[in-house]
Amino acid sequence: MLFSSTQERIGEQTQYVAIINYEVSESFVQLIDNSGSLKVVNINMPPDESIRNGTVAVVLEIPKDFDQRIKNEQLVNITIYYDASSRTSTIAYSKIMQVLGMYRSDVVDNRLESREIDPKILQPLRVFAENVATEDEVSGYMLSLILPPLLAIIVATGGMNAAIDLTVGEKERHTLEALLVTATSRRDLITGKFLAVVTTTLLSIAFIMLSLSGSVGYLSRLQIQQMEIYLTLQTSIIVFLILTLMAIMIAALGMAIASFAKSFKEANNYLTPMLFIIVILSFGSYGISIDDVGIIPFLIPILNVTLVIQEVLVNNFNAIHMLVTISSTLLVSMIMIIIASWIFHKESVLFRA
Amino acid sequence: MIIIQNLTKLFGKFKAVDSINIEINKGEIFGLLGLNGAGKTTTQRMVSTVFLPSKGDIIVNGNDVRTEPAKVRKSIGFLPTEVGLYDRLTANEVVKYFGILNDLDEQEIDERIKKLFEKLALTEYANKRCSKLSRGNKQKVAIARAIIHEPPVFIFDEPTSGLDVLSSRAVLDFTKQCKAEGKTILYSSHLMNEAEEICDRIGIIHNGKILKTGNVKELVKEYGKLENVFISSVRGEKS
Repeated sequence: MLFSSTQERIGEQTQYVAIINYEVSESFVQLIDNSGSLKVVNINMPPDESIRNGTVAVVLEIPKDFDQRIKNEQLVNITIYYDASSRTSTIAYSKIMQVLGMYRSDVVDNRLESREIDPKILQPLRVFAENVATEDEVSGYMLSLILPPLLAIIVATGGMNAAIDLTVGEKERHTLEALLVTATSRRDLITGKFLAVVTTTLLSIAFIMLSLSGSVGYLSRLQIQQMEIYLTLQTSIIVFLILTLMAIMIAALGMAIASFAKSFKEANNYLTPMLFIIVILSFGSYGISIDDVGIIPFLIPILNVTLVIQEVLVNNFNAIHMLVTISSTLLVSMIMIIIASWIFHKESVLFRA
Repeated sequence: MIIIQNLTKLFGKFKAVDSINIEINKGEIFGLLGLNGAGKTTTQRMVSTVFLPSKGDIIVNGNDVRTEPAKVRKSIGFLPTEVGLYDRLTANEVVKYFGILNDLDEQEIDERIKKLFEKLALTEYANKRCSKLSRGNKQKVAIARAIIHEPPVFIFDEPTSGLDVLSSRAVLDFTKQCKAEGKTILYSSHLMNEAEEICDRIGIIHNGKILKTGNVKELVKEYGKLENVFISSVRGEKS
């Protein structure tokens, strides 16, 4: 976002250009000067030094017989000096290339016309592309490529630390025993911990959704963007609800796995492979086209969530897919909650030496 | 107040506690004395409902640990060996949290914290984070946490372990004070002089078995000091 904003600002600024042998072609100097945001200046240092110290963004070197060669229809070599590591210089370079491209085409047109040949002869085909997608659909498609795996990974990592801290963390701090002898039942304790993990995960989702909405909104206003992208409130809410389901599953899974561990370190060792699996499943949606997808992928946890989010983002809502995803995610969540609860009642696991 | 009958705990094939029988009367301090790994903590954990007995029965304040664990938990205040506090919470917050977990209302909790902290000389540390407290004060917070719900039975697992002389003294004095208030206390330790000072009766546990039980005064009279009772019981000979 910051990059685009900077680029936009630089694009609007005037860049200084030096032309070696500028005195040989006043028309060429005028061509550059009149292009809008480029200004020709003189330099008294070598091109590379002038660019590096910021005197100019780009230096052009034209031959001393420039006008003559153009007139005689001979090849003209132009050298452009620029700094590929400088954003100002690369933007100026792009502008120069655009101006030269137009100039080249004008020269060709003039030469053809002088021979009484219609310049259109060089354009045997004119292609018109008509996009039938609405702006919402286009922006949805763009988001559907980036967002689902990203969100799935954020959900997976968002509550993981809380899951570890609230299970194995209690063991490591030696607070577990004190908790277990309070009037609160183990079922209530595990429910409370589970809800805390889910809340932490949901908070991280909410923050990322807010920041994405802000970023997407901002990016869509930048002229530098080739395509406008939107994240509507309605879409955001649906995506958030789908992710809530996933958060429930991940919280239960994280707690069940972390409860087995004796220490934070051990819990991390157990949960890292789980994260790998989640990442693989999240990016699995890249290999599946939602236009002709069957029902099977929607039975696979995490993959189904990313696919459903894709469908929502491209406005291709499918109730059956949604229902299967909700059912399978809730089923896995319930199994994981039962396992986590069983572990919390299992003294050999809780007090594993 | 506490009846332990034929209590056995198995971890796989290992017998951590082997058919022990103990009866602790109301208002009595019963010392469970033994070496590390003797079965003291396992016994106390079973009394506290943390572990389920493999065999045998435990009745606490008229409630069976198997059938009425929730009622047992309301009747006991368990102080584990490890202090185990939340470092980022203040002393006040930790005790308050456990008050909530023990179904007390906020006003009740605040009143009890005030009273307990005064008793334990913790008032000036109430708003200090637990990470900043000394080992002795941490133990006092752990005690306050364990008994915030004012249970009739206290189960203290080596409460002076790792404490300096002054902190140990404070804990011992507090334990005596609780006894004077009519609390029943199951107190485990491997420090004989400490047990001699505060316990009414003791049970010597070794390899999961109770080798000897008796009145402290009578045992001291017979053996000279409690250490001799312990050594002779463990060695299987009278000194």
